[in-house]
Amino acid sequence: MTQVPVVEVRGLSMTFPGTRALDSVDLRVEPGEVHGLVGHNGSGKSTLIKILSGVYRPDGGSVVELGGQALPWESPTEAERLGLRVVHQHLGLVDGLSVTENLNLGSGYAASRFGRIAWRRENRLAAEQMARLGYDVNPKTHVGTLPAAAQSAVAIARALLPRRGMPSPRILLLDEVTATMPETEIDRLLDLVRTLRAQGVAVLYVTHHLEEVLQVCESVTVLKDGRRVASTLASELTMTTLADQVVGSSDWRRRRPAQDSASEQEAAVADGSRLVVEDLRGLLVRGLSFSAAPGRIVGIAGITGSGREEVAPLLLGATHRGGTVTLGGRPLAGNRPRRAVKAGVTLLPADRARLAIVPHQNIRENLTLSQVIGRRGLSLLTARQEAGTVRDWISKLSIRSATPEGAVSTLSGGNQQKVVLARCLNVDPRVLILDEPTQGVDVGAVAEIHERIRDISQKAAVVLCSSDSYELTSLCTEVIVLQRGHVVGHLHGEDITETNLDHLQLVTEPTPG
Amino acid sequence: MTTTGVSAPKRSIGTLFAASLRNLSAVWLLAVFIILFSITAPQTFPTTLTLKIVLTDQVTVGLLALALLVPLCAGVFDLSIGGMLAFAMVTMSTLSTNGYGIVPAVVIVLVCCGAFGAFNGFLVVKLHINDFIATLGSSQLLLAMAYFLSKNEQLVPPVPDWFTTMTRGSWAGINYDTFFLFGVAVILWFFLEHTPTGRAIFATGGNREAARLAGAPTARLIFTTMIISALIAGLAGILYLSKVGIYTQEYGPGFLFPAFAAVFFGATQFKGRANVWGTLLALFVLATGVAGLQLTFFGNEYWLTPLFNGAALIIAVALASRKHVGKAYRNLRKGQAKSDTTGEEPVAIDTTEAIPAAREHGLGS
Repeated sequence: MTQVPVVEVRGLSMTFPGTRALDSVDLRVEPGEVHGLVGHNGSGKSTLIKILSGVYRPDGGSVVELGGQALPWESPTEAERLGLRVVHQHLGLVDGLSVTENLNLGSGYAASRFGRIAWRRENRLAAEQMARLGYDVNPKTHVGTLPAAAQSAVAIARALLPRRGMPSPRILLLDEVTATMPETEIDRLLDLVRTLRAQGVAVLYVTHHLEEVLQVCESVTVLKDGRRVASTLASELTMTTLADQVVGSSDWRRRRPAQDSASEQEAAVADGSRLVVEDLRGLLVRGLSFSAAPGRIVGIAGITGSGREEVAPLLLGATHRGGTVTLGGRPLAGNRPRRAVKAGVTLLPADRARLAIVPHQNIRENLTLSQVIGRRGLSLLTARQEAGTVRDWISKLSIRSATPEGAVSTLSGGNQQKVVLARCLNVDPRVLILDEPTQGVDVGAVAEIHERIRDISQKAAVVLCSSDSYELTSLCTEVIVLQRGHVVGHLHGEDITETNLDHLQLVTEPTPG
Repeated sequence: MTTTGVSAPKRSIGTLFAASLRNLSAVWLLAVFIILFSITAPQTFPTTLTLKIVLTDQVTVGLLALALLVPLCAGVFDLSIGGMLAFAMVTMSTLSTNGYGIVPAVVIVLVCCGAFGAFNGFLVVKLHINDFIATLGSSQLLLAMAYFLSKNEQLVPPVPDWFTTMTRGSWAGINYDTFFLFGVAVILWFFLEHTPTGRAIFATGGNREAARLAGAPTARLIFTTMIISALIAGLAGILYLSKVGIYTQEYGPGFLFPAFAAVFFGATQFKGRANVWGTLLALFVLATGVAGLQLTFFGNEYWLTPLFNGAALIIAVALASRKHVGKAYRNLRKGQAKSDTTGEEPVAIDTTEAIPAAREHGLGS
């Protein structure tokens, strides 16, 4: 008799207004198994996780069973009650509290005499719980000071703690917990996963890192575009065949990181808008060198944790950086965004709400911000002076707003992004650095923004950092791919395809021919 | 599909009234006060004397409110202005008593205040000490210096007549010091609203990192605003000494709350963020209310002023943000229904749009 699978999903579908995020997906996790789940952004992976965590309710006809019992979809805690626990990439720990305090976060402490907490006993219990996972940690240490894998271990220990009235957890869902970990910590985490398996806890291991999947999982399910591509035993897979499943095609060509021969042959004449980056170093990024000039669009690609997110702020000088960045032959000071801006470098930041939009100023003020900053401190500034400029940009970029004096918060995400783009373009930059320019932007605005980027690339050097393969393929003349901070590929022209980008971002071993 | 931006405003009376309730609640409140207190104190309230008192008594608080306003626009609190006022009064007094002429004394006092403002700026910008804490601490340092210099006594400095007339004299029934207040207000209004530096200050207050990435010298701007607030507070002290002619230890910190009330209440007027004319409007409306209460209850009940200021501030800000709270709630529900796969994120609505600094300090919702 076959064992009852710890998780069984049949015909799982999830439709949102406008898209079908999951289409009839099947998945089985056997007891005590480590089962990998991989797939692109947009493959439906995160939707599946949210369904299992109880955040979403799937379409009718979907069957999700945990340990043979169907999920009734009445409340998010049902999955927990049936033995499923989840640990996300953002672990949900409080850095300033100790291990013991974090383990008891949300569940409280056992009552003791006079209602006080019995710290000695609690600390001892916490140390035991960590030891069971193979970690010898002083339970009074602040979690924020622990290395990454140890922090994940605390989150996992907490997830596995028995809860009153619930059966002991049988399946742990690890959602991209290694995304931003250094390699040594990842190895420790994988050891922890093996320990869990030895203790009979099944693990659904979600990640972008294919090498981890092959190292620790027994079987792997691959999702693409909302469908299940395959569920295979890991022993039958190689990096290449797994990558083929994820990308959806085995037809790709990989080139070794090319010498930047094309641009080296261009005369090394100090062109005012030529940006030369040498040996750029940040927290993750190491040894990134490239050049950008008008007429080309240079793309930077890489998954989360590859260092790609650092590149744009590093180029502007917004964070500490090593290496040199020169514009038109003149070096730009690191750590001084103001000087870079004065020299003609502008940045369209990722996460516009946090880094670009000034909420208390209206659309006009947001749009003209960079230009205004460049003017003499005490000169006269009136709304009327700016009105013409603002009207021009509103029509050029099709920013949908009734009046430029309106609050910027009334604009949709796409229109807000256009305002920030107008801010950058308004100062006639020599270099335009774009960081996820169409994130959270509706389809129509994406096309308009892309048009603009193509236009400006004739006059300014453009560097485009993006996690959107489609965007990179449609705009860039060359793309540099990062993995763990290092350059692993440099694609030019026709070689820039989504398939090639995905392979370079995901595959970590060189493959023959 | 893109959602459209603000639709063309409907001109119905209802909408205009609602809008004015949000942006001009102080004016409505003033109307209520005038009507109410004209009924309860018909002999004493609706007179030119009341008007004169309201306009005159608020100069010191008004200047301190303006002092508070400038760093607040940059997103930073300067809580040392009360102490700065006391320090300025004592220093001015001491210099005058020791034979310095008024003009050199004024210059020295302002230079000292400016230096202390630079010290505040250094604490906040270079040492990255939280502005609340740093200026709270420095306010105590200033008070300490004031007490030390005054040797725990009341001070009555010898001053020439013109120094006294400078504030107590009047033209067309309005005291000269009221003109000082409006003069400073006009200068600040121009500086904040109509110069690139002022715009950069607001950007720093609204989103410091965004301003920095756009090229604004945010550290330098914050530093500058702290010097400006110190100078204005110093000026307030000098004028107050001129007006009352005497320094006692009570002066200083007591002005802080009414100044705060004026700035925060004023931030809900006109622009939905801290601004000069809103501050002054709020100042005078609150003063009118207090005057009305005092005239109604026959006497200088000390508890009336703080009770009134506190209540008015809470009610006024609540009225101004009530619409936001309702709107934010509705948008939150809409956002949940839309979810995150349609490629368009619901836009965040801020419930305390009025005061960026308050939001940063977690005082908003």
